[in-house]
Amino acid sequence: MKSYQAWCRLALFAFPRDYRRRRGPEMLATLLDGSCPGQTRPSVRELLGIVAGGLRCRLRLRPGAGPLVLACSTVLTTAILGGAAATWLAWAITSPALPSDAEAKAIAQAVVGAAPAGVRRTSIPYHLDFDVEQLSGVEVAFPDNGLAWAPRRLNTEGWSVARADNYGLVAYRADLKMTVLLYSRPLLLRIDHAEPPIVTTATIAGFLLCGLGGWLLNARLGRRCAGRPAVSAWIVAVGALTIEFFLPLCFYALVEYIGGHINGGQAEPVWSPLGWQWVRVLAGTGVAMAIALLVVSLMPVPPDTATPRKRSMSTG
Amino acid sequence: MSLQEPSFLILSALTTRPLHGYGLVSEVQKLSAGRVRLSVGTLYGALDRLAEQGFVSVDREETVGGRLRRYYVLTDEGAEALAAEVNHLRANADLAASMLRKRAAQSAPRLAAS
Repeated sequence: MKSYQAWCRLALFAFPRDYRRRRGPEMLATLLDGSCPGQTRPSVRELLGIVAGGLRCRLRLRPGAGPLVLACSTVLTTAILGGAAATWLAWAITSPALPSDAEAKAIAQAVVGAAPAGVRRTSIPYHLDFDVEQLSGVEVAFPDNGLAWAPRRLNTEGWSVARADNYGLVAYRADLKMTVLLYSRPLLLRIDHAEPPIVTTATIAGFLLCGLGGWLLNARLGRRCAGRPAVSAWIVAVGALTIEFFLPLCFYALVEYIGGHINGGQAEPVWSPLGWQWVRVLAGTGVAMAIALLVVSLMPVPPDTATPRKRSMSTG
Repeated sequence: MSLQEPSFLILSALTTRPLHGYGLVSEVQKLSAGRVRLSVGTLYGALDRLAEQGFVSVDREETVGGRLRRYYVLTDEGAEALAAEVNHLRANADLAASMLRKRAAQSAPRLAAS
């Protein structure tokens, strides 16, 4: 029986700690009452039932499609925003400084074979300035005097061409990336950093961790709502509105980001759509609501209000 | 609001007297003629929801042979919800039965003709 009890105690770890504290002894008693004499461990069905119940309790998934849709939307939104934040962090930490204006001019001159007209720097790596939606980079412009572009110079200067079409060309050398806008008059060269290898790993890690965080937030809010229909209705309404503000933008940004990577072109920061003029107020409202939900979730979960009469018996 | 089968059987089991966890598992198994055997996860998940809805409440606790037994009792709201569900199921069953009778009446002349 001791072995049976140990198995049950182990399986009950599937439930959250505070739930185990409240329900654990009672659940253990139910399991022990249902065991056969001499039984050394619960059946696989019993174990699966306990673990499934524990996970459902941890995730606070209620029956019905609505809570599931809301939970999945929360997870998706937090995962995408978390992935974006991790991408920014990885760029900010690992990306070295861009070439200076003089270095950029020299690189461009060597490739084009003519003196550039001017240099313009754009933003910082994965910036937070919503007015500029480009990644950091140095743009070098050439005078519009019918300059002929000679791509073969790229190879002699050590650049390898990754993609070329009628509109532009992308080439890499060490950790630098050069984009030549062929349709542009005057001819424009843009020098950025190639994406550091850690960025993809960080994006995936941020996506997964924040997705998990979103689920836990959902679970925590679910516990706050338990037995409080009025609180529940408010939290669900605010949560649904928050998701409403973020989800379409997150989807759009994700498609843009992945599409940018697949095409080998410039991938916009995932949050850049949040900075669009017409979206800014909505995004700001969404952020305020998300913070409000986070604050509510951090408040202590109210204890059980039931105060049962206690009685002890020695046998039974 | 429709009750799920475990919740329906738990409320039914509590109609006559308060029961503890294992008592509920046994009673539900008996009421369903052995068809439904509640796992502990399902039982306590259903009890949590029913308590949240105010359909059951804790009656008392006992410690028997070192084991904690918490007894649950059906509340008035729970009894009302169960009665509403019974009426709902009965109405559906009556409807299905009348449709089956119609079907049988329609197919009887055809069988007689053939």
